[in-house]
Amino acid sequence: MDVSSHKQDKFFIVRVSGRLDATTSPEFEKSCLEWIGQGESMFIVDMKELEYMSSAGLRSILVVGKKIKSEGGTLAFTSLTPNVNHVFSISGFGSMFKVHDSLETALKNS
Amino acid sequence: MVTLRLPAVMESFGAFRSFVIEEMEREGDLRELIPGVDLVLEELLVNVIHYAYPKGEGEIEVECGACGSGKFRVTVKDWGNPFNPLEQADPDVTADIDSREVGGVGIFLARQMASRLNHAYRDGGNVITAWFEK
Repeated sequence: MDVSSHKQDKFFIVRVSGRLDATTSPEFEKSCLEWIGQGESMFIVDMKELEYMSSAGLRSILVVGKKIKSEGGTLAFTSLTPNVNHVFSISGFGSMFKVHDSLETALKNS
Repeated sequence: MVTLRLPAVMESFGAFRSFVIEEMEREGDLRELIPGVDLVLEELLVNVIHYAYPKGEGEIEVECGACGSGKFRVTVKDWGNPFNPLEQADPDVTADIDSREVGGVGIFLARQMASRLNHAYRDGGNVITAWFEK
């Protein structure tokens, strides 16, 4: 799992790649909570290169999502791969969060 | 069927995963089942690592192999107290972010991904068997 970030206009884009599983999700969660702590609030998570997500990944996303909401921020996801999209769909995360087909669409509609 | 037994710690997770995926790749025609098996294996292993041995150390045994054309079977065994995780209630997947509880999704995901899941307590251990079918 690799996670990186950059600012684009008012948005804070997080790119996560590889696997969000029980061994890597704590690191993803920690990075996101640090960015929230630094004052970032309009998050878009780009999952174009994320191959795999388990319940541990969902757990971290929910913790981060709740924190962003409590701070008055927003969180959207883009470019889910088929495996990740399937996990998002059956867990209800696909309807709980805003999910966009591409980063361009997310930037226009978030 | 092939078998691997290792300590019930997160450090064993990668070795169990490689062991099962390599067995599937060796079978050749089971590739399309790999994403589902990958997820179910993680959820079952994490469940054992977190909950099976509250008082100390223990082991996990994973057995897997093809079981007929286009079919694959994985069993995960622990020697903790009798416990059937498949009996736990499903999470409310329609809840909004404020009322959604953190956790409780792992076994639910496993149940959706496997063709069938079964728990038995036998020979002094919990045995969860997952079947996958193309």
